[in-house]
Amino acid sequence: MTYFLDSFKEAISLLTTFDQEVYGIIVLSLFVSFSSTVVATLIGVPSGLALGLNEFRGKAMLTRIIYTMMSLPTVVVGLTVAILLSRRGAFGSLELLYTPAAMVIAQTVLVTPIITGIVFNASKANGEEVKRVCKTLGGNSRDVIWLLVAELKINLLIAVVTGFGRAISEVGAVMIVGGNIKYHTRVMTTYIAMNNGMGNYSKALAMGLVLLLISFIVNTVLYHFGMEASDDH
Amino acid sequence: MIIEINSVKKIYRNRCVLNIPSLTLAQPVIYGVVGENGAGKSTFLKLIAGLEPVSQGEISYNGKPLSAETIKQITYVSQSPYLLKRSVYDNIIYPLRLRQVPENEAHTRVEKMMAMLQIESLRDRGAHRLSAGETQKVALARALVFEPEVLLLDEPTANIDSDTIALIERVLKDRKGMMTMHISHNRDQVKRLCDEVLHLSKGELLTTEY
Ligand SMILES: Nc1ncnc2c1ncn2[C@@H]1O[C@H](COP(=O)(O)OP(=O)(O)OP(=O)(O)O)[C@@H](O)[C@H]1O
Ligand SMILES: [Mg+2]
Repeated sequence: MTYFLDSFKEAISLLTTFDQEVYGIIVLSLFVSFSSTVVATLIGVPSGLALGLNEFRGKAMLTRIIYTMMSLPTVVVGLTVAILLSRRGAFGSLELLYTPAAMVIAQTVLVTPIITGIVFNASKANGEEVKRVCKTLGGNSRDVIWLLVAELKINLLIAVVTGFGRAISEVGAVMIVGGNIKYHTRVMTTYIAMNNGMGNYSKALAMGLVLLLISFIVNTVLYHFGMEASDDH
Repeated sequence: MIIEINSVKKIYRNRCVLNIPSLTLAQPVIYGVVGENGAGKSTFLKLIAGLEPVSQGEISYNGKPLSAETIKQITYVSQSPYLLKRSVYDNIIYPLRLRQVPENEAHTRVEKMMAMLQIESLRDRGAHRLSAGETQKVALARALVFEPEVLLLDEPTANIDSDTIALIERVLKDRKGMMTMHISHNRDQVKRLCDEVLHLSKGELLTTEY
């Protein structure tokens, strides 16, 4: 226990000394996960809404595939993206492997099904009703979309935050496609894994604390919006 | 305004729940729609509102087939209405915003409508927290506020107290020159309110006296 406490103290001091490398890693992590969440949102929200509101052949199958992809193992995603981006892969000529761009791509693949799935679930429950109300009150298809976004606001927010949480905390995909290169592709989770492997527990723990803090802030924001939504006006 | 229904059928999973060979509805009239549970009353109104596609046949409004444009003048208030997750006021003003009615005028019309249905006290309440009767009144206000030519009401007074029912009936009678279709299980109400009665049973129109 004292060992843990000592690590904890060391962790705090590491953070308060504003170590350049540590802060670079935090910024890169936020940048990569934020970018991938934005791209995944742009793809996942419209797809989820479309899936929830339309009936078509093969929908049951597609739904099952998306649900399965929501829990894709991160290393599988990493591996697949790495193969595609490797020199002899389909996109090898782009020379993206071991760059932050590759990490964004891998995390986007990871997060898109999560956002799509959550949005799909939400729009399945209320979407049809919202669409009818909008139509019968005189709205056109564009009005329907805006009203859906407004009515499902909380669900969309939950989807995005859940996606971001998954991205920022995963280690498998970024490790494989990024390679944990110092000052280049090293992010919080790969830093933790590496320092753990080298026995630098206090460094690993310090970064773990930062991750926890970020997740706490994100959840606080979510909770705040959730409360606001359930409040009487 | 005239609604023509031509060999319309609605089929859910190989089961025909509505079958109307030919029917013409013309204004200005309050139609009562009656019939047992599952007779197809709600389905009938949803088809006219353009909220469900017909499986067969066609429905036209003023000589034109139902389309996004024609159904702008037709509105349906469900038997369990969905109110938007915003205040009562914002719910009622919503159809006016969709029509780009100037804000001042919209405001006046909403206030007038709330006064008419005596729901001013609900003005700033969150609409998703209302009681069943309150919800029905707000949904009715939201439909009446843009003065649709055809108003389709699915048991609008099912959860309403008797004083308010009288009030709502007066409001509906006041819709001069417009068409209203009103599903009701209350025989006395139908006799009081409706000029004509459509009696549905097992998806078919009955011609017998109600
Ligand atoms: N979406 C649907 N899918 C399958 N069957 C449906 C659907 N909607 C309605 N039905 C069936 O169609 C029939 C008519 O339903 P409808 O809601 O029109 O009855 P109703 O006359 O309004 O009854 P109530 O007085 O109980 O409201 C019912 O047997 C119902 O089960
Ligand atoms: Mg019904």
